[in-house]
Amino acid sequence: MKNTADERQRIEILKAGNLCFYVVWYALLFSIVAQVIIWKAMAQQIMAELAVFLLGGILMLILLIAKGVWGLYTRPNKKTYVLASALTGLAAGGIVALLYDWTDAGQIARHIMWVAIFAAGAFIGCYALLSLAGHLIQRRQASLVRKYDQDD
Amino acid sequence: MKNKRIKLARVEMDLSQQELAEAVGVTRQTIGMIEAGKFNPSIRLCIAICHALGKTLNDLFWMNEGEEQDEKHCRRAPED
Repeated sequence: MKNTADERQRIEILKAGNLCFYVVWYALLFSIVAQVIIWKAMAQQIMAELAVFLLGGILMLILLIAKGVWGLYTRPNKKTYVLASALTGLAAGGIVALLYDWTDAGQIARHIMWVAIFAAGAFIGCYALLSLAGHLIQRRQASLVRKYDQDD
Repeated sequence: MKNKRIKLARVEMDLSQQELAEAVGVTRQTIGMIEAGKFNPSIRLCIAICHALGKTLNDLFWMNEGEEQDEKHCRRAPED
């Protein structure tokens, strides 16, 4: 099929597509969190949404690694990994905390322990994923430099 | 930043935005936005525009530091 859009229109289409992806992706995340917190949905009830959400994230990550680009506002370094992982850990801990009934005084210590375990698990998982992605992206950037190095 | 030089060169050649757009293979809106400084064209499109208007990249797109500052000053200055 012949491309009828000029370069400005292509950029606008890409911007619109990018915006739509993030709006839908975050809406999906919000919907998953809302189902878990408000309607106490079980894992199998949100499996389809979770799979689509993860697919979007994984696909984006693969494409960013393939193109050797990280993001608009941060760089792939430890500070970014720690900050993003801390936010993820806090969000995960917060969601788990909302699932518990905190009126039972006898269970509070147990709840706190599970919230902390989930938060720490999310922090470690996110940190490991970001470190790996950052490492792969930097390796790809180095390979692109070598590929297009015409100074020799 | 407005690009008055493209507009001047186009008018000198007696071309409309539509005619220039057709000559370089873009839409009229894109030419309008380049002239209004709302879109930064790729180097490929800059060269196509230069060829169509019989000018060099320097003639149409190069801006000296002084000119850039004047442009910024003009944008900041309130209208009388």
